[in-house]
Amino acid sequence: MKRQKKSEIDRLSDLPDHLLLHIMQFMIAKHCVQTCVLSKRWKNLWKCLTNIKLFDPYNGVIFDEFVSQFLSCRDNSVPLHNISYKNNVRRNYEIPPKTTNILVEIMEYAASHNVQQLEIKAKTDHIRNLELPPSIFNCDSLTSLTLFLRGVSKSTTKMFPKSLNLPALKTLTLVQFTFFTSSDNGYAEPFSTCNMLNKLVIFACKLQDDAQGLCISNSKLSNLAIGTMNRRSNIHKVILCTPKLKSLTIIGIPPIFPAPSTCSLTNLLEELKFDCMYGSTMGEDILISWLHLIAKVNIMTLSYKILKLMVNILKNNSSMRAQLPSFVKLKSLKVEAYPWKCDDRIREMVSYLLQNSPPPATFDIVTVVKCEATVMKYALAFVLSNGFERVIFEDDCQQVVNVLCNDYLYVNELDTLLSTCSFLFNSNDNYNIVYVMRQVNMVAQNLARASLF
Amino acid sequence: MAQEASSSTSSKTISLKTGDGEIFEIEASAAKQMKTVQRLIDDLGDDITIPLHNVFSKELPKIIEYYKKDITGEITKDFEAEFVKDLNDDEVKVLFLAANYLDANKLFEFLSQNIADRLESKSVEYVRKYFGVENDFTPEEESKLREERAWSFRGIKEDE
Repeated sequence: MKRQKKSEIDRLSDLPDHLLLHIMQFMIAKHCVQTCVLSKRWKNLWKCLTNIKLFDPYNGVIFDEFVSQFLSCRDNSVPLHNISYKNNVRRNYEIPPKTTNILVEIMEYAASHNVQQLEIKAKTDHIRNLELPPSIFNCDSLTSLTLFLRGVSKSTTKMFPKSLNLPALKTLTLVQFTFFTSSDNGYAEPFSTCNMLNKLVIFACKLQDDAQGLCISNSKLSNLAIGTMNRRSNIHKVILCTPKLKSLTIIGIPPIFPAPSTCSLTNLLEELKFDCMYGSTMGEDILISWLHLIAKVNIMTLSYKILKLMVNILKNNSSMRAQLPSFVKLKSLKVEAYPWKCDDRIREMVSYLLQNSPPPATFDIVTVVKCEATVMKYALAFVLSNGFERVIFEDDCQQVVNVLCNDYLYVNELDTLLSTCSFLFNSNDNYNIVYVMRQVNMVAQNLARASLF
Repeated sequence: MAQEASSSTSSKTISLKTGDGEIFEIEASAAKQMKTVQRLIDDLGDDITIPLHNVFSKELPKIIEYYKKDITGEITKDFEAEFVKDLNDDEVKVLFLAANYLDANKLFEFLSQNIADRLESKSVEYVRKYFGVENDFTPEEESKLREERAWSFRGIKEDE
């Protein structure tokens, strides 16, 4: 056993509590509590954490009991900044009915402790009648909220509250919710009271049957991502009153609603992204409206799939071709494609789309060399569209494997690439992913090589 | 071994002297990211060699490397992974202490995360050694505590 230099031992043990806590803040909660046995000084240190990561990749029931204990033992006088809960239970389990549900417990604890950022990603099929506590939707301190309450059945959603009182909210991410219809105008307008809202992500959400559409009116909103997984979504119309909107992303299948009608959308919108990696149809009227919107932006990113879809529709429809706008404002165009897709073919399709337009200043084809998760995305799309039920994925990119195993929803600056992967991967309990070392991943290497010839 | 000063004539370089007497040059914009250094510059002027008693020639080049990348705005997850790949746990600890001493926030945050990641799978005894913690519990006290907090020790592999 090596003896450490005395000076080094002294240096670290001299660290004040707040620095030790700082390191602990990056650990998951269970390990933080375990530090209590290090020494007397550490016994209650974990109770002063302000950022809490409640995450356990393996145990469902045991973990929920841990969370409950953690919250009740925590030092209530210490402010709470950040709670993140991820339950990665991959198999449904039977649990004895509880009087309170852990998700409700976390939300109420967060709300009553003035939390700033709350993130909950959990599977909720096993929870009967989950009712979200109103306290979390009436919280002055909340600046960031992520609710990803996933049901395996793709059509299960939770009701999003009719009214929100979140005056400080800047970032909101919602997955699988249904929005109430406002009585005034027949539209669903769930977020209009959030005056500070800056980034919004809505995925796989629905409206009530009587709604005319979804209306988003927020004066500070600059980033919006919206999309769905299948054509069963009933969001057929979107109205935007978002004068500061800079970036709009469509995620999932090609849009099933026409380009949003707007009050003042077109003034600042700079960027349009179509992160659509599966789905093989798009309404012609809908396509035309989006083409007109593309003509108004400077930066566009297209997935290979939707580029191909757009070009096919245009090729088969001469009256649409006649209406194809000139994309004079387009300065930068990026296409996300399979690494083995022929670049020339992509360029051909892009030329077709831009036949009435000057060439953009920058044009990029993003492949796996730059973007390992894109491959996984296409693999998942392939698997899903071919209806394979049991699949084992082998990946030599540790980061992608970690993300999918740990069931993250990656919404870092609206990078929806990994989030789409995660969502798709977790939609089927019989998908598994295994990390293989690059040297061992000969199957992929050989296939890649074979495809070049 | 002093590092090359930047070739740009308009950016000033600052001289840093480590605890073991070696001199390194960094750009003024990198120095700004190390608040301790910046405070010393503000007090002593930028022509003086700034003494850093608690940072040594083994770790300072690595820190300079990090902030050199940071100036060009290019710190990606890949860069960070590469940066710590060949460092053992003790080397990361030393960098962490240096980043704290220099009040270099970005590097400090990143290293905190890295240390947390490294310690996640380690035993209690390892973590004690790592932080230089003396176990002042009696065996009875420790086992009583473990029992009280059994809800956090359940389901893990104990290796001690």
